Amino acid sequence: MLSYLADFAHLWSPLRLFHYITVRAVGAAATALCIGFVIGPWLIGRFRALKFGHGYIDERTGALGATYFDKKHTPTMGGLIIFLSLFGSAVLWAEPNVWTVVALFVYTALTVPGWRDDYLKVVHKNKDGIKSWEKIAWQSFATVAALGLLLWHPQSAAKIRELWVPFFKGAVIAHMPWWLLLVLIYLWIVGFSNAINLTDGLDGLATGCTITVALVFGIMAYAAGNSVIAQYLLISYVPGTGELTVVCAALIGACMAFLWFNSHPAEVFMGDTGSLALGGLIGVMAFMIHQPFTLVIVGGVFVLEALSVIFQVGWFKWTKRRTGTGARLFLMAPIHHHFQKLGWPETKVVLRFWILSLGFALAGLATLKLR
Amino acid sequence: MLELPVENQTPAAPESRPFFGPGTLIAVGVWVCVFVTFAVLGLRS
Repeated sequence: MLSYLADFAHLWSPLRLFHYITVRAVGAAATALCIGFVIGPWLIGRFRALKFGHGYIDERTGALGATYFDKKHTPTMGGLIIFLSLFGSAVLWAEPNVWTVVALFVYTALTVPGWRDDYLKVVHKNKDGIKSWEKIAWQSFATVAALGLLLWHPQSAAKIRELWVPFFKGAVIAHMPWWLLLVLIYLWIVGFSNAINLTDGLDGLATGCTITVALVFGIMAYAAGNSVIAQYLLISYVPGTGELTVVCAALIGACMAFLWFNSHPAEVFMGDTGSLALGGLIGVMAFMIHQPFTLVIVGGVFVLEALSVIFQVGWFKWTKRRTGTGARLFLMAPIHHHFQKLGWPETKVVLRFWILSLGFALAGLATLKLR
Repeated sequence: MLELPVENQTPAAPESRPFFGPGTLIAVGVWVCVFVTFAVLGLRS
């Protein structure tokens, strides 16, 4: 909302800087980073107290509270650090329009079930968390409400119905029927929510990969919202989506702050609070900037993680039906655990997956020019 | 009275503090107001 300050540039000319998306994106990243660093240690202390109670005595050291790092003693719900940092920063720096409102709405609507799931698991010791129908109901509500807003608002009503595919110079479908759009957005939101949830198994893995995806989508949103660049690259021009660059920058800053605490050995996990919402946010942003299929390339690590689970379960069931004994494709799924079973240290798996993620990000960026 | 050595003392039973204190509720209220303002401004633009 600081963009409104640019309206007073005639009173003090430096205020015109708030008009520029690039300036506000840098501000958003820095603000999210600062918020994360400030609230991070405080929230981690709260989560630790929530998980173990205040009189918790470390079994190994005898000191009050966990003074060493152990996955069993690592609190979860760290997604709340990302949520507060991203939200606070995005609301401050992004210009309110239908695209930013929908992005933040979906992010919030999916943080709630994720947080509730973690809360039930941690505080109520309910190992199943929220019921699957409740999670589906929240995801459906977020998708339907987001699509309703996009179809209702004049700025987005026509644009959201276009379907763009990488390597094509124009829209493959110029006017998608609403039901097809609903199915696709639902698949993307739910699919990427679950994919990030599966990826979030090693310290820093999901967060690091989310940063690269946010970086690429920040660039793509800027290109989609700029008529000159969009025309040059032959991509879809979607007025107003440049503001999603600011949201992506806030996401990068928030994830960087969270990664500070989530890096191995992790002091906190993001839990479902973070993973469900981040997947939904990335999924819906991909649709709004007309790059849904590019997300499959850019978020290649998330896709591989999800596919490894699907193939592992599918192959096990198939072979069990055929031979009576279930066979496994991987030593363990999701695939990052397969490499751990092969003897790779956790940090090596994470760093190599980050390298993969960077490769996928560059491949995704290359699709902008290959048309 | 014989005092137990420190290592034999039983740690106090963990007590949990409710997560939803007044501060949390105020924070959620402020957040709702901010988001509603942002949404109204965004959807009217």
